[in-house]
Formats: sequence, structure tokens, C-alpha cells
Amino acid sequence: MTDTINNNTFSSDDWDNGPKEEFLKSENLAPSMTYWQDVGRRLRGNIPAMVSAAVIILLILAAVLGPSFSSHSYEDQELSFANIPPIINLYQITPGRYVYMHRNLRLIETTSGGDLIETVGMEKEDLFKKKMFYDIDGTRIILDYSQRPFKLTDVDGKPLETWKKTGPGGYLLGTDALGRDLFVRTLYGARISLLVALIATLANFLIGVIYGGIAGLAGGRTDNIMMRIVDIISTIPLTLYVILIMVVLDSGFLSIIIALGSVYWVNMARIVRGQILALKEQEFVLAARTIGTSTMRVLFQHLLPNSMGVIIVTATMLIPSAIFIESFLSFIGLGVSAPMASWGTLCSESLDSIRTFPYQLFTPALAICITMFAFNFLGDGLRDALDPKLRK
Amino acid sequence: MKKILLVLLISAVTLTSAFAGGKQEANEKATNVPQEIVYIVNDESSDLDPGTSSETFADPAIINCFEGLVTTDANETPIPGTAESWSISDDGLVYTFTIRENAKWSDGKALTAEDFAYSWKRVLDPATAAKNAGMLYSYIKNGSKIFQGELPMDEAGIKVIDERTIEVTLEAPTPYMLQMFAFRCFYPVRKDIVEADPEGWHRSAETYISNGPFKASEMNFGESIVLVKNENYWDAENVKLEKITFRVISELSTALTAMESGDVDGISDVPAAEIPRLKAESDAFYILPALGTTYYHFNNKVAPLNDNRVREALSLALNRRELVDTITQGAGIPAFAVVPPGLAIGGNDFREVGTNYGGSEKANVEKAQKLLAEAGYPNGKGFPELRFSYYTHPTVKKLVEAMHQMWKKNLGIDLKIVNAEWQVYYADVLAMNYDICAMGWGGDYAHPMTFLAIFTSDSANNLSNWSDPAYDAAIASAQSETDSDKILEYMHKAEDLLMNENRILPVYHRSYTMMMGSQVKDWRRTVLGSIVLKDAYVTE
Repeated sequence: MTDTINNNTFSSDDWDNGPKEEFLKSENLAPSMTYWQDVGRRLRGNIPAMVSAAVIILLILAAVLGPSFSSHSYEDQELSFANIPPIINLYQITPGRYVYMHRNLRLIETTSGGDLIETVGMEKEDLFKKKMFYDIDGTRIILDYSQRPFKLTDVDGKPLETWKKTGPGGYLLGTDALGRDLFVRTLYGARISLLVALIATLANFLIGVIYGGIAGLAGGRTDNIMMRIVDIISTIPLTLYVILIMVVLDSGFLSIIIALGSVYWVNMARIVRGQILALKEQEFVLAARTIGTSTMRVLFQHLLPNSMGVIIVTATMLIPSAIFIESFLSFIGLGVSAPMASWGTLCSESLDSIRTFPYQLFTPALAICITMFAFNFLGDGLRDALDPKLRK
Repeated sequence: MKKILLVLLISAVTLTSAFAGGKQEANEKATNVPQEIVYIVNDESSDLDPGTSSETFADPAIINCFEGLVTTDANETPIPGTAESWSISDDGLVYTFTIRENAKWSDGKALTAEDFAYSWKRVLDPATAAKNAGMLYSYIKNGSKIFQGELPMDEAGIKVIDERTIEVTLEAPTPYMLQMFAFRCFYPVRKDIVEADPEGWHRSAETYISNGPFKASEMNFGESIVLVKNENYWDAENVKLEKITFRVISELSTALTAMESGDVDGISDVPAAEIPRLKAESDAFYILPALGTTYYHFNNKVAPLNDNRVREALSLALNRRELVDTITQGAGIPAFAVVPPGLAIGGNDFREVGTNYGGSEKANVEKAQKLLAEAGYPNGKGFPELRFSYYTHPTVKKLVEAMHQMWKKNLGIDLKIVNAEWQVYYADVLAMNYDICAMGWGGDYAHPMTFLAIFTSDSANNLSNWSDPAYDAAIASAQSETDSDKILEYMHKAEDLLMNENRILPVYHRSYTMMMGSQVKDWRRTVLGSIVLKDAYVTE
């Protein structure tokens, strides 16, 4: 018997690589992939999630680099150019002299390209007929506001033709009530929002994951006490925390960051704890414990990596709500202090003039909308991709 | 531009007085139209006690529910109110009022001279802690000494002659005293009601017993105050409105929506951004002259604000014309001193006689920079990061941001903007815990004294952390003087002391922007800001 075995010993030369493709084809098998490769593949197949990821990357790039491409800073104000919409109608008075009729009943002289020059001085106003008279290079024109829409007419009352529709030079999205560039302010708001997203993620990972992990793994009385603390924290509304923190610190961005950082990890802690409770009874954990692996090592080397899918999905889903909380707090006046701009303060500032200048609300509201959608779709896509049960 | 604004204000006045004087329209009063109006106010007061409250927000209820011995007409001229007549002694010291025979409280009890004596002595009593006590003790004989506890209350110059006659003796002749008698701290309150619950009587409609054209019927704090006609008012037959609802909506744009959808008859303020549109298309919109000045306090004891060069630089670096045009949308006049135009002494407009203290509507950046450099901060270098505090209000916020940026751009000074709710903010300012802060003053009676008396050293409203015995002396001289030229001189001397050193930072004189539907006639908003509905009625 021994001989036989010896005779049957194979050297590597005895093996030959068969035609792999044919083999795969014949057996109808998929190439072997690691878990993360598989996740990546499925995520790439999810078009909304990929678009969202692209939007988020674009947003980050725009927030970091965007403001440096504009000649305005977020706090530069030009009071005479307040409330200029993104698209303005130019009227040609004489060749080379162009004006824009502001809805606040002012004329602003512009270049032919729409660059704003200065407010045109009024000659006189007839308050009863509701007309304003102007004299530009000898050409007399009348701003008639006796009925809507306001008209710019010549001396005979004939309405002037719009010469050109264009953007106000240098102000891509128009200006706000103090003549500040809305585009730059919206991008600056994106910085605030993304910073909040970053802080929320950090708080979730640093505090939530570890806290939940320890509670889940320790179990028993420790778990009970730790989770009751979480319950207490989560029952107190975040707004209240912010107000309380503002009593100690000044109102502003720091208060929001501290409030978010100190309480925003509780959902994550609960989810991680649940995950750990389920995983810690499994064989690979028992095996690790049998060979004397330390508790910390079990937690960080075995349990948490195996919960990573759930953690990533939860974090992605919590980011938009953190952004929204910041916007909301800023909206009700508890947020960033002037002259800083966040999407929330931009919204609340524009609410006053929503009837006359709705574009001021539109921009930040759209920015919030797009960001929320992007993070939610990405989170959705990640959840589908990370769920092993959906593996085909 | 200034002229245009004046024309605007004047035309607004003409429009209102057309309403106020529109008696010829009285015939068209349709009996079948319900005589009820709803008017939105932006804030409410927790203190509706006419004797103790100094808050503007308490005004709608107090002014329409109560009436003093004297009241004022559309031109702020004193006319008989609860008193049918009065006489003034030749030396101007003794006022004798005769109360109307049919003067009654809203619960039907007779209103007597004793009621007035009690009410005034209550305000004089320091234990009452009336915020306007100064308006009595500065003028009534022995008032200051009684307020300081040096004399008993019996020594006050208030004497009941008989049930319908009361005599008031002043410390010194005061030409504007009759106007003061029309102010709320001279209104009567009911002794039995007030003593039963000194803190709470004015917070419940049942105990809010008054003597004016209307009486309270519901008080839903945070929501509305409802007034109904007071059948026991001496002139009840000329009061046409049956019911007034003062609804509280703090958001200006929400109030405007309610107004434009026809839910309410009037609103007390509109968002500044809507002014041009409303001016053009709404016949319910009014810009009315106001006796009020928006100014900012420098904390005069905080370095480097204790240096006049710094204060002057800060003042010169502001382009007030731009601020007024953009932020208040033209509803205001750039201010360089505290007393607004429209207040006359002896026929001379106080503002026109005075100077504007070297201020210009546009910023004088070069001079400002030079002054700041002389003070040791060339281009703002080394200037400490002072706090620039304001209270939550959309217009104030815009103004603060614009001023902050002007200082940053023109002087290189970067201040730290700090915001708080009014209650928190006001407590901080009272404690002098601020560097530069937003404030303002609306007049209480039509005399420049109402603005200048707030900066004396013993005034509870002097929040500038500055006092000057020479200023106090000038005010005291003006208060005891009878010759109007001399009063004018003393009061200008006081204002010079305040403004030559830029102790405060005036920004603009206010106007009221409000709306009232054209179906409401004969309403009146006084230059002091009160909405007076005694003569108002509703047509189709």
C-alpha cells in the first residue's frame, strides 16, 4: 500500500491548466469575488446612487474651491446692488447707455454685457400719478408704477422694448437684500453643511460605534445602564441642547457642532449594539475567544468589521438629517451668527421678501433639496449593495 | 433724495389726515356692516398696567381702553378727555381739572377725583416700581423727594378738592405738561381691583376695569386681545366700533399674507423688502411719520470706545443714506442726533434749529480713517474684537450686518456680531454687558424732552454707560424754564453735550410702515405710534 501511494505522488508538472473560460462557461459559474468587490459591483450598477455620489463629490469640490473663482467674498456687500435677480432685462436708452429697472423702483445703469455700474439719479417723482422721471444723456424716460407690471416708458408713455435679457455681471445667482453675491454665499453655506456632515460622521464613528459595541459585547447590567443613558439622551430634543449650550457659549456654529457631537451618536449606538448582540454568539467569535483573544481584540478585529455594512449605511443615512438639523436651527435663528451664511440662514433671510424676490429662497432651498436627495439615494444604494442577502 | 422722502412723508400725512378729517364720509356708514375689526400687532406685552408699563407693545390695549383727564387730537393738541375742563394758574404751577359728570368705569361705578389721586400716588410710590415714574416725580411738587422717601406721600402736589375736582401743583412751570397728562402713567386705575391683585389684575379681562372707549373682553396671551365697546364711556354714543381684535403675529411676512388675503383689516408693520411693491400697488399701505430714532449705544467705559476719536470714526464710516435706502427701503431719515424732526418748541422745529453735528449722509471715510489712525489704530490694526450685539428682528439683523461690513471695509475693524432674544438681550444691556448695541427710542409725548431726558444720569433708560453733570444741569434748567427760547437753548446745549462727543450713534429717524384696509375710516396712528380707534368705523 505504501508503495502504491508513493508511486501515485504527483509533481506539479503533472497538473495542467485547463481552459478556464471554457470551464467557467460549461459550469455556468461567476468569477470568485471578495465581499467588497461584490459590493462595489452592485453599487456601480445602481444608477441613482452613482449619480448621487457624483453630485456629492461635485458639491465638495465646489464648496472647497468654488468661492475662490469668484471675485466676491461671502460677506462683501454692495448696498446699491441689493436684490438683483439672476436674469435682468436691459433697456437701451441711447447706444452705449443701458439701464436695468429694479423691482424696488430704481434704475441701475449697466454695460451692454449686464455689468452693473451705478444707480441712476432720479430727476423728479410724481407721487400721485405714480411716475418717476429720469434724464439720461438728454433722453427722458419715465418709470411708471401706477399699475403692475411696472413699466419703463418714453415721454409719450410708449413702453420701451427690452433690449436684451442677461445675467448681472459677476453675480451668477443674483444678490441678496444687502447686495451680497448669492452664488458665493450658497457655496459658503455648502461648506458649513458639509462640515456639519463631517462632524456628524466623526461623532457617529468615534462615539456611537464604540459605545454601542461595548454595550453590546459587555451585555448584562453594563449594557442595561449604558442603553438607559442613551434613552435619556435621545428623549431630550436637540433644539433644547443647542439652547442650553448657547447659554454657556455664545450662539453660533460652535454650539451647533458641540450639540451635534454630544448627542448625535445615539442612533448609531443602538444599531451597533443590536448588531453586536447578534454577532457575538456566532461561531467565529466563540473560536476567537477559545484561543484566548482579548475582549478588545474581539470587538475591533472581529465584531466591528463584520458590522461595517450596517454602520456605513446608518452613517450615510444620518448625514442628511444632520445637515437638515443645522439648516433648521439656523433658520429659526439658533445657528451660525452673521455674517456667516448657512443654507438655513439664507432661507430665513429670504423669507421676508419671498413675494418680491422669490429667487433668493429658491437657491438655498434647492441646494438643501439636492444634498438631501444625494445622500439619501447614496445611502439607499449602499444598503442594497451591502446586504449579503441580496447577493445574486 | 431727502426732499423726495419728505414729500413722501408729507403726502402720507395728507392721506391719513384725509381719513382723520373725513367727517363728510360719516353719512355713508352702513348700519348693516358689522362694526368689528381685526388688527395684527407684532408683539405683546406682559404688562398692560397703564401706571407701570413703559412698553410700546402694551399700547394698543392701554390707549383704547383707558383715557386720561386730557387726551390729544390728530395734531397732538391736548383736548378734554375725562375732564370736561381745566384751568391753569397764572404762574403755570397749579392745574385744576373738573371731571365729567357722566365719567364712569367700565363696570358702571362712578369715576371720581379720588381715583385719579390714588392712581398718581401709586405711580409716585417707589414700591410700585413704575417704569415711567420719572414723568411724575420730575414735575409734580415734592415728587422727587417723595420718590426718594424723604417726604411722606401726603406732601405730593396732588389735592382732591371735591368728588369732581382735582388740583395738581407742579414743582416748576412746564409748558408741555398738558400733553404729559394725556400719557398713560396719568391714566386712572381702580383702587379696589388693583389692591386685590397688584400683579395680575391687568392680565385678565374680568379684572381689567377701564374708563376709555373700549373694555377688554378676552385676553388670550400669545394669541389675541379682544376689546368691545364700553357702554359706560362718557362719549359712548360716538364710539362706532363694537369689537376690536388685536391678533399677535410676530412674523411680518405672515401678517402681510393675512392682510393680502383679506383675513384682517390692518397690520402694524410690513417687511421692508415689500415696501416698494406695496407703495406702488396697495391703497391700504401707509408710510407715516414717527417720533422715533434708531440709535446704537457705545459702551462709553469700554476701551477704545472711551476715546471720542474712535466713536467719531465709527460714526463717520457709516453711509446712512445707503442704510436707509436699502434696509428700510426709504422709510426713514438719516439721523445725526437723537431728537427726530417734527418736534417743535415755541413754533421752532427742534431739529431745524439744531445742527447735524458735522455728519453727512454718505460716509466720510478719509476723515474716519484719519481719526482712527490718530487714536492708535491705523487701518484698524490692533483694534480689539469688540462685541456688536443686537436683538432678534429681521430689519435690525440686516442693519447690523450692513454696518458691520461698512466698518470692516472702511476702517478695517472686524467686530463680533452677537445675537439674542429681546428679553436676554435687554437684561445684558441693562447690566452694561455690551460694547456696541442696537437700541432706539420712541417718543412718549410730543416734546424733545422725551428724547433728551433719557440720557440724564439718574434715568433708568440711560444705557450708554455715560453721565455728565453738565448734561443733567442743562436738562434740569430746561425743565424749570418757561421761556420757550431759553428752553430751546438749554435743550440744544444738552444735545450738544451728547452728540459733540458722539456718546451715542444715531442711525436713522423712523417712520411707521403699516396697512389698514380702506373700509376702515377715521382711524388714527399718532406720531407716538399708538393706534387710536375711538372714532373708527367700518364701511362696505
